[in-house]
Amino acid sequence: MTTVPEPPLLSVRHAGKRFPGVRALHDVDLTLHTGEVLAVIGENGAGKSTLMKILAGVQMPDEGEVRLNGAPVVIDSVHTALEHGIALIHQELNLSGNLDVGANIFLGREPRRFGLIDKPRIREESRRVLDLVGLDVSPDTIAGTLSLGRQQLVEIAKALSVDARVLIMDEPTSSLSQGEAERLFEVIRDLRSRGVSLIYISHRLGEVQELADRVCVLRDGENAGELSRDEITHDAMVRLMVGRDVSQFYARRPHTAGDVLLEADRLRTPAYPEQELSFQVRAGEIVGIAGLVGAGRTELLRTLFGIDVAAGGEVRVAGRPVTLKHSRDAIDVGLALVPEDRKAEGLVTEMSVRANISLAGLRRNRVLGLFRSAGAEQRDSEEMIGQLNIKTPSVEQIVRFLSGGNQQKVVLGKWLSMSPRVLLLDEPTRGIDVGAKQEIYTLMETLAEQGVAVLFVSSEMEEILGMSDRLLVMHEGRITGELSRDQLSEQAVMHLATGEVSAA
Amino acid sequence: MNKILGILLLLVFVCVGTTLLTEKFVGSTNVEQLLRYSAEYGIIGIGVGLVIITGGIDLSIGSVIGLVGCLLPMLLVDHGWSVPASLAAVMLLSLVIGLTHGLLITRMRLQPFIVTLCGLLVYRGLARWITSDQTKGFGSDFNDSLRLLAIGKPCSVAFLAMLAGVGVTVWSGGQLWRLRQNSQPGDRGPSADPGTQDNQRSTFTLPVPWIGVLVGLLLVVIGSSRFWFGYRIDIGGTLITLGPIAIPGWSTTVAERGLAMPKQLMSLSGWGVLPGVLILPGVLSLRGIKPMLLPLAALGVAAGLVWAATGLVDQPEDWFWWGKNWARTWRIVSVFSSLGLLMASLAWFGRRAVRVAGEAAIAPLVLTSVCAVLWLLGQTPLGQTLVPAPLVVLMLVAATAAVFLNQTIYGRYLLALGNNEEAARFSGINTDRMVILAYVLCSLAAGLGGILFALDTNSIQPSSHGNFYELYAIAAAVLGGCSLRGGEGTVLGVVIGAAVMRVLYNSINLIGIPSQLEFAIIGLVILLGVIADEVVKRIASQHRQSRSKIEAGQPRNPKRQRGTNR
Ligand SMILES: Nc1ncnc2c1ncn2[C@@H]1O[C@H](COP(=O)(O)OP(=O)(O)OP(=O)(O)O)[C@@H](O)[C@H]1O
Ligand SMILES: [Mg+2]
Repeated sequence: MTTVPEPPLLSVRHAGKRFPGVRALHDVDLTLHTGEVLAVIGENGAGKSTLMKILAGVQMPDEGEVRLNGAPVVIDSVHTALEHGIALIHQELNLSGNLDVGANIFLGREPRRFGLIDKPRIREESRRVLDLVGLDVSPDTIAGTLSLGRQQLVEIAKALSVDARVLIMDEPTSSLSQGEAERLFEVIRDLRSRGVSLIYISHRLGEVQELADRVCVLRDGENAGELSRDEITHDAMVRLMVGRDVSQFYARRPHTAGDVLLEADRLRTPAYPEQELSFQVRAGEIVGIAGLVGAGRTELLRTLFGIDVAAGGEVRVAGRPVTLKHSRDAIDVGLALVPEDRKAEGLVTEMSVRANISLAGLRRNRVLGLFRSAGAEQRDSEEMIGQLNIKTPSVEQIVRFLSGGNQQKVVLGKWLSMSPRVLLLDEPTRGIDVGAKQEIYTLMETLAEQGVAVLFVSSEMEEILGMSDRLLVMHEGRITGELSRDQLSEQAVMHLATGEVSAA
Repeated sequence: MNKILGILLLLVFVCVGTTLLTEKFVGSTNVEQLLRYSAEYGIIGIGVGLVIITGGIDLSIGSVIGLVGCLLPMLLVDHGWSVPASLAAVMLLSLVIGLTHGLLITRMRLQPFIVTLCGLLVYRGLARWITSDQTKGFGSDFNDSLRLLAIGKPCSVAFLAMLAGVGVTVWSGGQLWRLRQNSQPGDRGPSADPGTQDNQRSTFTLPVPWIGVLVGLLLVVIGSSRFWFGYRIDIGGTLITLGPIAIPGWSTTVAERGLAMPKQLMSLSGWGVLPGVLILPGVLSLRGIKPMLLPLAALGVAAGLVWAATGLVDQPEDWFWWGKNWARTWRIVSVFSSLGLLMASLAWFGRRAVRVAGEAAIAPLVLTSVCAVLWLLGQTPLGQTLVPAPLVVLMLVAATAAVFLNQTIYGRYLLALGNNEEAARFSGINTDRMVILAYVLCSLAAGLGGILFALDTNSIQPSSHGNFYELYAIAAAVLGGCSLRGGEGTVLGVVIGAAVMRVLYNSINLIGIPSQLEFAIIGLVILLGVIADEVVKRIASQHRQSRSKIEAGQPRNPKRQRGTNR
């Protein structure tokens, strides 16, 4: 044995996996060495999550084998994977909203004492891993009451609590704020230095550049290439992913704004009823909202869309005051909201792509006041699949089976098919690949040019700086400042986001 | 289709098994009775199905039926209200009940289980109170008018078969026409993996409409034969008066020769298996008969077993010298188990044949089976059986419900909110209103069912009329593929589910299982049905996966050189 070089910790050979009508993986190889951070990148639907699910025992491959320390292993269940020390943090949140954080962290492997669940130990252990990820919530908090970002951190804590040898993170930062993400990177580096191997999936190439020791690129379910530490550059990654060059970042073209389309006048959201919010968005304008997680940005959009009922103040659309008691009221005056949590709020995951895209428009397209218009449904969904380049075998595909990014595009498609006057977007590019991101930016741009007022919330600094004509920064439910395009800078934003009100 | 396949097979299984055990099952009186009860349960099942689709439940149905059943004769007989007024009053009451449930559940955010459980208690109590626990009935005054709604026989099975035949023909013709229209291979949007889904479509959809047209025409011919030798429709009496409009009753007389015609034609169509039996081996042998041998052998053995088991049925009890007392059990067990084997091997044979011979096997297979089924039915008096009125009511209700669920925006709203209420709300759907609507429809269905049940029994015990009916309705809905988690279900499935419930009950009585075991057996069979359904679904999805694999030309298990990585 001494003559043979040490085998890699984990290797995958010739992995193949098909789903009805889709070849998710074909002849894919992957190696992971001890104590390295391997980034796996690729476009939406490239097969990243599928490969990871195979490693974590969530799905079985049709072909190929997995080796651990050179010995073939069969990973046929999550349990086996955990026994081999492989833990996966899923792309989609999987917490039980009605259980507390501690119970979620130890779900399925609760420590016992005298046959009963050992609550004190759960609490103690949970606190330890929560500290690791820098989350200061009590293990007794009900998970469903936490913000999306915090739930994500709980997921990460959960994976840490198993003391895995191989830790797989599938887009862990997609709903984290910058600060939270930074904290996560520290955790990752710390784990690496302790000999844990990590597989890191992300569409944020900046993060990959910062963290990865090696990058493995997938394209259309096949290996597209590998980059070693010193080859990792933005352009190299993009070229391998997309197969062509994509410009580094989209910069908004200058243009002229039209009439005020959306106006909030001393609006008070139920989340922060004591704060009054006033602002305007004009036709053809793209306004960003920045802030830390919990700043009340999502709540503001929910109130504007009639999901939450305002605690006071007024909303005017195209100059006319509107009462928003239900999302239908908002839709009727031409508003659309792409929500933050696509699985819970955006999609009926058990229904087809067609049913989802047409859902909001059913009423508008109805025939004789009552009947669905199958033709309109088909037309809208085919148009959106084309326009947004949604990867799906057919319009009848059940949305649950689409990759994360393509699911997001389905939500976008639902609202674009409504041709809204005011488009509200909550983290619109969450989980979307570079190429598709460009497409969405172009789309926002096009919509703005057509006179749509776009208001978007984002936690990605690049996106905020690149896309906003004007930026509102929020902190603890207040608008702490407004920055025009030429005032935009990372420092200025962070300054306001942390609550230091601008002098201007 | 996969969703109701399991339950449909269960229905066939129980029906055929019971027929083999006792002739009485297919007797005209029994079939009419069975159809009437199934229809009445089907109506309330559809109602609760809609509620279950929203992820809720309605436990009050049985008590609503009891209350309506008491109120209707009271209004008509004791208070002398007119028929339309009484009917309107009880339907209005049902509507108010449903509205109350809906409002309590959505506005007060109470759990459906609790709200309707309380309803169950309240309405039962009310029924007993307003009647002082006295039995109610319509007497004999309404036998020739209103009660015909429940006990009347407006048409024959043959007539319905004719209508169904027309429907199938037109629909399949439409499909055919549509296929012709889009037969030019167009580009169907971006596909992740070209060449996988398109040939699936062409393999399976093309011949099916043709078969549909053929079968439809066959049904038209057989069904209409009842009227070939003349018929007379007598209109008379008054079924129901709605203000100035009086709807008369009717009866149809058919020429003697016509009566027997459908049955004869059905027996005749048994010859239709011949072409299939002749063509199929030819088609199969083109692709190699070998893989078919095993299923064919299984089919033969199973058929032999069924034949032997039916032989047992005809033996006198002391023939079972090894256990005379168990004779009945022996018969039942052997018939049902051999029948199970037969159906399993049929399915195996069919699937194999389609896999081996592809689309060419479908047409002969389907035609052969249709003819075989028609021949079998021809051995029963079904061709002369009349249709009880509630079945017509059910068909109207079911058609409306199916259109509502599948074709209207509100049906889609119900399904969407049953799956993910939050996402539905974010899409501008007024989810509360939809939930209320579901409960209202459910109570209306219960009210309608209540009217039919009351007219049917004519002797209503306030304390027991309708007891447990909610559970039968829920069982029918669940058997029919409604998931209690919400978001799933079909009207046709529920109707078949209701039929299964009634057939089971009927079967237990006819084949002489001790009635004490009734509940136990029904419970076990429901469990079995749900399991079978789950299994069928799972097999279907596996089948789909492996098929897409084969069609993409991927070897299942590629043996590759294991070399170094790069
Ligand atoms: N259970 C499933 N059934 C059918 N198709 C599936 C299933 N899971 C994944 N797919 C398909 O397999 C392909 C790969 O999906 P996967 O989730 O691995 O992509 P991904 O690389 O993680 O993309 P993203 O960046 O959008 O998350 C996609 O086309 C997807 O639609
Ligand atoms: Mg993914």
